[in-house]
Amino acid sequence: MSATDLSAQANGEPVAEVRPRSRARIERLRDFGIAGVLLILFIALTLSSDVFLTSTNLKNVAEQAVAVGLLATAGSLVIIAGGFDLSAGAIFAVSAIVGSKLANSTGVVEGYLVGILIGAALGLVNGIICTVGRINHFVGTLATSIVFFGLATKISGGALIVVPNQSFADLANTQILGFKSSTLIFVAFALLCGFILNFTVLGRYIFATGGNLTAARLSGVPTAVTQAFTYVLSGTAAGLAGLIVASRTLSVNAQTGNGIIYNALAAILIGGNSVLGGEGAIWRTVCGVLILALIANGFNLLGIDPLYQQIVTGLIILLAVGLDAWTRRART
Amino acid sequence: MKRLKTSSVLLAALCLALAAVIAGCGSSGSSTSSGSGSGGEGGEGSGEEVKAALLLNIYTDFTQAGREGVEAVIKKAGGSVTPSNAEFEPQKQLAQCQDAITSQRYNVIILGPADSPSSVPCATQAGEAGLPVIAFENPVGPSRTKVEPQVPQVQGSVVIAPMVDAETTFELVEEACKGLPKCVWIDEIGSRSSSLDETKIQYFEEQLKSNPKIELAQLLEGNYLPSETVQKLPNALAANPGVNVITFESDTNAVAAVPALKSAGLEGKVKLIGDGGSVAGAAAIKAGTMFGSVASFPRSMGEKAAEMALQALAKEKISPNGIDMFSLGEPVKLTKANIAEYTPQFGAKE
Repeated sequence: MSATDLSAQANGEPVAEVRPRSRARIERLRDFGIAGVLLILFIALTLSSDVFLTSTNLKNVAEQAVAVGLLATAGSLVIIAGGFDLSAGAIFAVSAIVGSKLANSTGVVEGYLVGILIGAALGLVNGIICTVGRINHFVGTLATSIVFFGLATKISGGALIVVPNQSFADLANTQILGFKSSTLIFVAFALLCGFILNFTVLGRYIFATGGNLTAARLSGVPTAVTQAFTYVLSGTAAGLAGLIVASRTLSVNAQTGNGIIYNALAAILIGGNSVLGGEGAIWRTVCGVLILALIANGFNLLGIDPLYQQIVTGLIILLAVGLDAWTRRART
Repeated sequence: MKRLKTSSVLLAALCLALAAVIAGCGSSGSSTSSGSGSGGEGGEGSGEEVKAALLLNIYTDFTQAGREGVEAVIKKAGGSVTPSNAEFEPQKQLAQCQDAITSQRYNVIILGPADSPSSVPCATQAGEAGLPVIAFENPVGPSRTKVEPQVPQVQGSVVIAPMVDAETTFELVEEACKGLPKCVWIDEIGSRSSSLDETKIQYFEEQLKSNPKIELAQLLEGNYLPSETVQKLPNALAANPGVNVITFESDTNAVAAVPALKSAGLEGKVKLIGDGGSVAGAAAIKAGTMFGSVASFPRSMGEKAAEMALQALAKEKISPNGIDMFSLGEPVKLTKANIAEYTPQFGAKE
């Protein structure tokens, strides 16, 4: 049931009785406008390229969406809770660099674990700054992103960290049931985020905190802990994504992760999640991630000149978001 | 009902527009240059039409000149070239590489790595798909400085040797400092987190140990943007009023710095050294605005990479299979004394 229906019911309006059932069904479908856009894109690419609909290509697309997908799904929780994490790209770099260095000096498993823990710890720093410190979420995470990128440069010494141990690649490249492990990690993580958001008390707290912070606090919701949790989750996801990327190429430098946060934020917003918090869905973010991945894949498969790619990407995003917004506006 | 009908028509129109954009992409052939001529230095014997994926690390006037070199040779052989731009992101380039392989549109990959070690998976996957790989601009493999192919899938390599660039820049600094009892030097670099810049800095630091008269007073990070360099330079000049030499990561930045020097009253007192030997750089050296620059030959590099690609497709032996760009032309160290002998291969004409 949608938020509008809930609100109508709360006002005592007999929703289903007023609207004919078929029309209500069509209007409910409109909530899935962004999924429709994804489907159109999918069909268009299937018709345009002979190899698009091959399992190899689709697995490639899934694999290519992993890093942005991890950041975007966790970032969705931050945004729904009323926060905004601009530092995930920098955490991505720090975790990947620390994890890679540790894999070289101590061991691969230790590198993975510490890399992820570093991500979680830096996420906690963001959480404390934005909640206990009461610093604006944009400004707070913008500042920490600069600090974290600086840390990444310092720790790496500006140099490329190469991991000669091939087993470091296992995190991203192990084949499980025909899929690369990185793809399965993303699927599991997205499901976990969806579960937390929709089926747990914490999920309700996240919606309540993002919807109206003061009202939620007065209702007994631990808003600071809730927002801090989302930052920790975002940091953990960024750490994991950084390690996956480093393990894919067995190398990393401080520039790794530069710009990835903008793709993740774009995916969240293309999916139709509200930047104001209090509403959103993981499936929407996954749609946004896949739309971006399919656009990039389409360009490569069809051999589009890079000179035109940005223009076409912008137009497709504009159309996709416009279509989604229009279908939802028409619904209300 | 009427509203619903209008909405449906609008929805359908939007869907069609979106589909048209995608379909338009599919039919776009503007990116691909193909020629109908015959000839070429290799590949003729193979009887196979050359379809090259040119994976560029970034789109600049420098790589554009390289692209033109690749296209000139492959066009002549009746083939086509499709470029892509990784925007210096190794992950993006790996995705482009995977998609190029999966698309089955190409029979050779000319790879300009966004990052040398990170480009190995692309070469490996191309090799598994039976596509020869030619390294272009930067090496493919763990070493950023080795010119020869480092992984078996790379059949030829024509790349910029970073050490030659560093050595030539330092020679120019030494020349600019000649006769001075003490020489204060500011080095404008791209980024401290760039491994390539870091390699050069390490080389400079090593050389300074045996050149005590030269003092590297400040490293200035311009992030490859003339606007950022110009913005930061006045502070560096204020902090080092006695500066004698400034080196820049590109000729563009060196030329862009001239107004800042004028404002600081240092015009003509500080020697500017660029990098790249662009059209603007060569003109500035001729005019005496710049002291010197390091030449580059991107178009020749592109031509050589394309020739290697044709040879690889024709299963001919590529010899030598590792070429340093600086060996493709001369002079490499550019000063007013020899600039007349040099023909720039990239950059907008002034």
